[in-house]
Amino acid sequence: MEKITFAGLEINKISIFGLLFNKTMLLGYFFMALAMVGIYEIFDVRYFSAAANAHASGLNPTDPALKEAMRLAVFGDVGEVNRNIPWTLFIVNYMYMIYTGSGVIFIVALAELMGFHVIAKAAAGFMAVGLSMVFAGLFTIATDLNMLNMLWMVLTPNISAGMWLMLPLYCTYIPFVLFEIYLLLTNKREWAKRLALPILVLSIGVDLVEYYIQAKLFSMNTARHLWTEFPFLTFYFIISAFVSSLGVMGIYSYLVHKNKEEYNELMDLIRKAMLFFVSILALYEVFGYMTVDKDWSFFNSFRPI
Amino acid sequence: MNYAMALDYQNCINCKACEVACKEENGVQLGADKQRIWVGVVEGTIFGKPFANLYPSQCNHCIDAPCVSVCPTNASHFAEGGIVKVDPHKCILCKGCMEACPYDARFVDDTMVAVDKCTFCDHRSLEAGGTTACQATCPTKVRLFGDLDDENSDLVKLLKTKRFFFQKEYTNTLPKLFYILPDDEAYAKQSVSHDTIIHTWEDIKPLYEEAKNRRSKEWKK
Ligand code: SF4
Ligand code: SF4
Ligand code: SF4
Repeated sequence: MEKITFAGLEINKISIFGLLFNKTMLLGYFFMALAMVGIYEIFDVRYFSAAANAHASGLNPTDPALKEAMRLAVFGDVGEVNRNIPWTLFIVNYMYMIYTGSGVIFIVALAELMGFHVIAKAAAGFMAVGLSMVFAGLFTIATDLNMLNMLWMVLTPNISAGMWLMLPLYCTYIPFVLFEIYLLLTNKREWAKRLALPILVLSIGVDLVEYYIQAKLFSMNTARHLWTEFPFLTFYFIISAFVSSLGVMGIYSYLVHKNKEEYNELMDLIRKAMLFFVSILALYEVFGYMTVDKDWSFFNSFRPI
Repeated sequence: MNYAMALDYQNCINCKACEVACKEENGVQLGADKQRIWVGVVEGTIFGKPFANLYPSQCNHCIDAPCVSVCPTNASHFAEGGIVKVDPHKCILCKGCMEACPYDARFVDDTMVAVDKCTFCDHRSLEAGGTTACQATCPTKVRLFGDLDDENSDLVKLLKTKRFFFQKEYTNTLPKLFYILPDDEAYAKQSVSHDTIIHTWEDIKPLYEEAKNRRSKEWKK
């Protein structure tokens, strides 16, 4: 295939039509259409559903929107979340995507540092998958937030809040990972080779900081002690992310590397790593639940079935 | 100025006049889940004898409020007298504060697309002796709003003569709803759990004063 060279990257040359209309993109469009339906639904509930306050009936008692709001208030569900479950599926998806995605990036960096050469062959692909999952997570959280007020994140920041730290974190993390992918793809060049090791070490530092900030966000919710008081929450997040990341890496390897010579070695490595991290996670869970809330673990172990 | 409230909960008859007064006073959103204040009901039996305990409640305006620490935009903040408030136009609806509050005292106001909560009615000239709508309306005088810094306030006078407890004290947020323990021993026993810590004003005052001095720099005037 004809190539275009751009800033040291070799890019396959295809037509715009070929880029936009192919099997992979069609699958992508399908998921995007599903996402649009979801976004429409949530925005409809958030910004356009009938809701009224206690003064509305005094101010404009004949308003049909008020009638609908009162009907919903008495017989239906008002709004998108209720007070005892403020974090919904959006947060579940955000966590899965962000943790798994950055876990893939972290694992690749670790594997390279530890000298697993077979990973190097697939590294750029793995990292691109990881980064797209991070984007998916950020997109999910952006849908969950009221973006109309986002300016206040910059105007009146609370810099010690875990939630706020997400902003500078991802503004640094994403360009950094993009640069790492760029280096991997252009590693034949001399300066890229020289940069490889320092960037690798730095990236492991960045990954650790990322998980530390994520753990800080959740550990500030002192009210939900069953998961915020988990011992060494940062490491718990890392280990559990590694387990789901290795799952994603396995699927990716199956889809992309199945017919390549490195496939068996790659899968073997992923299998062994998975077994290792699942075992640590299991120990972690048992130990964690035994120590965080003894009443809770007693109840779970000995309640009548 | 350090605003707080005592609740003589044994007097509560669950009439919910306080809930209605709050909605009307503050224009709170309509809907059963959308409440700034509420009455918690615990039902049970002791040796076959049924009982129901009523715990009127609302935001505790905690001195170490986790909802304020987690808020990324400072929409949740301390106002004068340590009242915890939300600036609705700054709220990005991350719902971190709802998750962080041990008392589930916050909810999303869908008319404002922002989080809403009790403000101790701070628009009712509290400094000039005004009080909250819930206290003003309660037929059995359950609630008593006042200033912990004023030794001559009715609130401190009451706390000096009674024993009291806090809800979920173990979450260490230093809440400011003081639940007055009933004088009747049997009733008192039935309405607190075995691990509830009972306090007196003498034992709690230094802790709350120290905490106020530590945090009041953040209180907006
Ligand atoms: S009760 Fe909840 S909302 Fe009120 S100050 Fe405490 S943590 Fe914040
Ligand atoms: S939901 Fe609003 S008030 Fe609550 S922490 Fe987020 S931005 Fe702050
Ligand atoms: S108004 Fe007073 S008696 Fe009635 S529910 Fe409220 S606290 Fe209880």
